[in-house]
Amino acid sequence: MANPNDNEPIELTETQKEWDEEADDLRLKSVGWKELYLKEDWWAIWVGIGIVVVAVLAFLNGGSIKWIAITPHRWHDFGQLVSDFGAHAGQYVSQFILWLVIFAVSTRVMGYKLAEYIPSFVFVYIFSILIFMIGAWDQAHHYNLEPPLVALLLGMLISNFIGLPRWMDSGFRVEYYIKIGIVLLGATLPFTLIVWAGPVAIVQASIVSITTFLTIFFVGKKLGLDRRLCAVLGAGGAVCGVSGSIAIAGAVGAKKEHAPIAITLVIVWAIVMIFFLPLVSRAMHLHTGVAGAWIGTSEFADAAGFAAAQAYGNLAGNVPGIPGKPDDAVWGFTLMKVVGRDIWIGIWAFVLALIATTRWERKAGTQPNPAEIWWRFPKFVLGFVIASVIITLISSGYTFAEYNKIVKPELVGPVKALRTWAFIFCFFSIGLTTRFRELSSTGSKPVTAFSVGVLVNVLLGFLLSTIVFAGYWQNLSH
Amino acid sequence: MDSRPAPHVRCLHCRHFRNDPDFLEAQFRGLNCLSSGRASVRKDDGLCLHNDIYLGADDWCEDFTAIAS
Repeated sequence: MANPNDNEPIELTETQKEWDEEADDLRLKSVGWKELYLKEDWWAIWVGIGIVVVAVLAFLNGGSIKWIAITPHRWHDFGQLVSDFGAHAGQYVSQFILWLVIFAVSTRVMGYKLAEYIPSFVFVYIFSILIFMIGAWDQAHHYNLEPPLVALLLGMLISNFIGLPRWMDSGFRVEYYIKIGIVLLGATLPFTLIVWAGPVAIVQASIVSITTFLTIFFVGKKLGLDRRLCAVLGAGGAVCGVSGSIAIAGAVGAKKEHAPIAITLVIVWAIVMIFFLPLVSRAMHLHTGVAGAWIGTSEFADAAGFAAAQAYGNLAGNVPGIPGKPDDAVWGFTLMKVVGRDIWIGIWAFVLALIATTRWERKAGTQPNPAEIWWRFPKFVLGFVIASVIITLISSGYTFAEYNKIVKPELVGPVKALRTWAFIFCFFSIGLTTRFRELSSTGSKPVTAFSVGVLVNVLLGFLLSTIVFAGYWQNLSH
Repeated sequence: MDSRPAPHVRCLHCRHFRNDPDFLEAQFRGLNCLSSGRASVRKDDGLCLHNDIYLGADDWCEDFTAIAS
């Protein structure tokens, strides 16, 4: 192909030919609507809605998928655990095969190598059973052995002190697992709740997001940081963590080193918050819904936030003095983070691209297109809403008593169990992919700018969740 | 208004542009920890190895050099 600036064909050296071949191999081509089968967001919809549809069909025909949605039962002594596992071994094997087929097909289509994915997922599944079993111990709560935290710590221990071959990262798909989990979560969250509390979540999240972004941006600018870096840091701290950073980095044409700086800061602070937010919530005996909303404004990534929200929610009913129901924490978090923050990333990207193109010096660029808002939209949210609508419609034909007696154990319960499996896969994978030695160094100025934003974010989020909008978050179950 | 010299002049068709998800996850350590190279939010953004910037596949600049294929 000729250089556009002249009509003569280019004479290539061997090095240049190799460069072009490499470029072809490492160029995905324009994705466009191919994202329906190339992106994890869409596969989360196909898998999640697929599970919900199968569950509904089984339910409507008098059956249930609960046989395959097995989880370890509560146990007191080791003999009970072994006996329970032995009695249900066939179900665990069947469930493993189900997950393996689903993930093998989808990851192969997305471009992963099965020779790498399969053994890696076997590793994840075996450890997930162990993590589940630990969480099912009737003394687990006394020792703070919440499955999300156990999964995270175990994963970090393995990756940072033992080490695993890099190819195993194929199976540690944090985002893919959490997106499937979120779609399945939609099936357990009434659509009426999304309609009732969604606008409040949007208002609260917007106040915190905009304030946090502007804080990080202007503190960073004051410290002399590049505006594009300030924007990337701001998106990471205010919108949706690493995904927010990488989206804004592409939108504003950030320097190569900007995204890794933001990634490091988001990861470190997200890990800190997984422990800090539930710890403080527990010390203050916060209602689970209120804590969930606070985590939703002050955690940086969906995966990390679900770990924190689920860990705190599990305390309800098991630790004295924690008001609310376990589900309230996860619901509050989901409404705040997914509905209140994630869905707006496309708009943030479009607006910042517009600003970068018109007001900042850019080496390369093009006029931003409003279509960016759709292409960058986190599509898995559509699956979350669809799942919620499906189950809400099915449930609307039952009284509250019938719902608890029939729908919950036969339909919603099994879907929730599979959701919990997806979450455990995710939390364990976060730990396995958090390699502190490999994270980029950041310099003190980005640390300062980001950390000031974190402080503002945590305090403002706390104020809005525990006082201003507490009435909503305390009544999610009602 | 877009002032690119020709419609095919975009980073996607430039020799210096790389947007393979696995390549980007290797370049941006930690990307797969709390995000992914295959997330919708990333669209088809990639790295320009000539200018060392991360930008969209539809972007372009004066240093555009078509791949010879």
